[in-house]
Amino acid sequence: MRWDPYVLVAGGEFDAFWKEHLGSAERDVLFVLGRGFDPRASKALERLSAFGALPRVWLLAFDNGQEDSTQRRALTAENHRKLVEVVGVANVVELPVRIGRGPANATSRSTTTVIHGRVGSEMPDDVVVDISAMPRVVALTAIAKLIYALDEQRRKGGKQTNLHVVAAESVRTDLEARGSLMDEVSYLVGFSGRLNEETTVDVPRVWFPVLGEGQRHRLERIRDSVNPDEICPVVPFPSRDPRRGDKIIDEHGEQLFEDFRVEPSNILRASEFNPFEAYRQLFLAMDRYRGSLRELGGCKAFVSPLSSKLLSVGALLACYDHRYGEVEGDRLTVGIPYVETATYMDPDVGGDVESELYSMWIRGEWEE
Amino acid sequence: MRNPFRIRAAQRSISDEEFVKLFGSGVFEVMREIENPWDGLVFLRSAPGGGKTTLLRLLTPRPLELVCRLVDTSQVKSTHDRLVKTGAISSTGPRILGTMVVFTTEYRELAEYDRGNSLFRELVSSRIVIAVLRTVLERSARVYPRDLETVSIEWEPESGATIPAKANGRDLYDWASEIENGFYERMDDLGEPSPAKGGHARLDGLAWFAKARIEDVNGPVTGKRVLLLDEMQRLAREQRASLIEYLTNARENCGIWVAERLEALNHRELLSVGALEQRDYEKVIQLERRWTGPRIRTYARFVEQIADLRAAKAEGFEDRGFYSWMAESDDVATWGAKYDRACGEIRRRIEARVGKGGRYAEWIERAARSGETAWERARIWRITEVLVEQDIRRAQAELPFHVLSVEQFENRAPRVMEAAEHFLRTEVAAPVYFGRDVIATVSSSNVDQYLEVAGELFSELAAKFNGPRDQPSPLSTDRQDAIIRRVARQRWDGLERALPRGTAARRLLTAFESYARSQTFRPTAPYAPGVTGFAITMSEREALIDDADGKAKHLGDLREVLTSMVAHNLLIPDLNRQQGGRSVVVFYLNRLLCVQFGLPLGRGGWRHRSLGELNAWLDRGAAGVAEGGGGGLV
Repeated sequence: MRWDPYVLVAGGEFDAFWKEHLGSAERDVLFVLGRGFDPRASKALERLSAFGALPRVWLLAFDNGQEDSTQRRALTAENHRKLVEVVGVANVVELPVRIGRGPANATSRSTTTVIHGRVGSEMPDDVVVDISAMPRVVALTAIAKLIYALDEQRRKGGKQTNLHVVAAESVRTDLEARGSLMDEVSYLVGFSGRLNEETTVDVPRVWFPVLGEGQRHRLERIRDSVNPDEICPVVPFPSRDPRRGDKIIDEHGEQLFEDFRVEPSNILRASEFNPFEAYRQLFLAMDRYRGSLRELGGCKAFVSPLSSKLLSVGALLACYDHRYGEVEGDRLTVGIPYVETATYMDPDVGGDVESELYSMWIRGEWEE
Repeated sequence: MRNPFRIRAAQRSISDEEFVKLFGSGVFEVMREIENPWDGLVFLRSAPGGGKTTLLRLLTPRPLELVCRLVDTSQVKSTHDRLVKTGAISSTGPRILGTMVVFTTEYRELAEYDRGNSLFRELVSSRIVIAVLRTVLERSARVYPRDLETVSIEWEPESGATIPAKANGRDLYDWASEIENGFYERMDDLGEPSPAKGGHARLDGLAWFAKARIEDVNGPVTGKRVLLLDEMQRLAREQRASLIEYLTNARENCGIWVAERLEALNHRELLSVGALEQRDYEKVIQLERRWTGPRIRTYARFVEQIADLRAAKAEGFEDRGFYSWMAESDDVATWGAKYDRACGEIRRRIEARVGKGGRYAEWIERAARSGETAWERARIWRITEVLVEQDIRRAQAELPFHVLSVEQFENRAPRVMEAAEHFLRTEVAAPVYFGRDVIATVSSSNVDQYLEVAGELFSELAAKFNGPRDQPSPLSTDRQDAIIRRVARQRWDGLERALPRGTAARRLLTAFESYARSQTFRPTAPYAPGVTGFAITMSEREALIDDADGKAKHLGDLREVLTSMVAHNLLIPDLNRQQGGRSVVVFYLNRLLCVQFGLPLGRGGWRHRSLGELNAWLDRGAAGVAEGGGGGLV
């Protein structure tokens, strides 16, 4: 397992880690940020710049082809103003990301393409992806693409670039970021799971929906698309609210147990605060299916990240490790199906949002 | 007890045997006009949950074989007989070789770099080949892919075709795998995109499917070949258009069924006159529309059959019919006194308005004498009140002192009866939505919607059957009404989330609710039974959907939202010819929305709204109604 042990810092440790990391050597830092209305957009950047980092910034500018509301435009402009104030306009490169027009995975493909176009010989010592203000598909694709690209760079004898993922995590804000959904289920680039491959259409499918609040419609659409033989819902536990997992099960109970016929014993738990623990739990659960169904021709695993962004990163890492990591024997075919948000409603939160900064060191020097 | 109404028959976790036992054979009614369903191209369209995949699944070998084998079981007999009638099976077994290929969203990705759709044709061909191999093995009860060598297939390829001329199943599998593999490797590559290779100039897979000589362990495979293409809405527009053109022109000797959601159709295809008149293709089955009009009774029987098959699966419920446990009339103990009180109130209102005698003396006398039950008495009083209000408006132009006869009452009453009943029940807060007809009607001809409503009703009913000493009683009208309203509210609450333009759709519907209620509950019930739809004229329809000169850019949002609502069965368009040849398109509400808005369920009541007014509704919701003002019938 690639991320066992792992490096994760949060809260007070966040400052200590970055102070030391940035102070240990002169470091060229690249920040990958989302241009959006989320009030957490520039928190991590502000904090790091206080420790002396003057990063370059790739600002992923999302365009869903629709006009934004006045409130969202104002919040986005304010976030941008803060960003420019911190790093200076010359250090910001805007990268346009097309959201949700064209093929079902247009967002993920667009993210891959813009990052692919920038990755090259001038990669810095540290890349920090701040996923706080990124739509989930953009965030997960950016992380997967960067792990892959930086691994390839190193494999070919290039620089050892560190990759960090930071997030100002606030369950409340994630809950409030509501909107209407796309009709179609999309799959992350690299993680189609070969769902509809005709030659393997009879191979059993196991679906791991990582559950959050208010996911009834997404669950229904993804279930219809994946058409799984076995469902293993993952609920957040431990979590800040110790009853959160129970509440989520309560909310979706009828759908899970009546409609989907989920066996209660299939429910898994994954830490809300620790994406690496979630990674470990999910990786091992997927691996158990890989082992037990090997004799019957294997299986395909599908993981839908429907909970907090931190848990979603854990889910991505589990899938990534199965697909690209060092795995003995036949690999699992892994898919990440998701239903993107088509249009966002105006957020209720304004100004300060209570959130906690997390930093995950995904790849780089610590692995050597 | 697990609720059998929650089972989705199209899901692969449902075994073939369970599937055929749950299949409602009434669906074959929609095929009635199609002369030879296993020849040529048939389109099967519906909103999500209309039952397309379920129908296609039945036509594949194992379900057909099971239907033949289980003919003596009560659940399957009717399906068997219907399939015999269509020629899909005979006394000796299946007569068609139904081969299913499901389109997926991945094809759209292909469209991004596939010039001329040649890679698309190649991929479709490879999938047809694999689907045939699976189907043939399934038919001969062999295991896929283990027994691929037991199949051999031969054909005369046209020039340039790459499907092997003579090969066994394993060779063909390898041929197709290579194509699929190349496709997925390119799609899943997180690195440098590799240049696309390959491609087919024709859809060779179709010609191969129609012409190839197939042999399995039992010898030559006979039976009419029927290609079942599901989920075509997932293709990119140009892929879909090119495939339809190819399928239409190829005229191969096989049947082709294409199932797709209405969202595949653009606004022109959905709202063209041809589509509205249902005459675009000879063989288009649009499920929800096929069930409307004169077929509504047939639909009610069809869903009743589904309900009984599902209820019979529930432990402890056995052969009790679902509807025999749904009360059809109010509980007298609860409602008798309230209706009696309503009689007095309505009488007082009428007398306050027109006095005790005069022009309406005979009507009032008749109301006072009639009705055996409290409900009937209250109903007559409320009809009388509506007719009196109507007559007051009309009488200004007539002879106001002429006494109206009972006969005149009887002539006028049927037109307002449904509206008056709805007024009365709403005023006394009595149950409105209950009973066999209502449960079928609120599903708006969509099977999934029906199962959702019936499933909720069954959940409560099932609770009555638990325990050895329970003495179950039918589900009261009060409970039915409360449960149906709850489902409607849940759908309404989820609307913004469920639709890509959900927020805008909800604004438009909120405006319609405000408008429809103000029109429906007018004292004279002028649009009885109530306004449950809005109409645009044909010239407005043209301005909305054609916009060849780009003058209707300001209608873009409206066009998009209306199209999406039609595709999701929230609005049901209906071409309504008026006297004098003028036509309008009426957009009727999904009947669960009528429940949410407290409107009657009967169709027929609608009002014309201009595109400007609809745009105001879309922009400002209910506030747009107040500003937009009224509007007359066309």
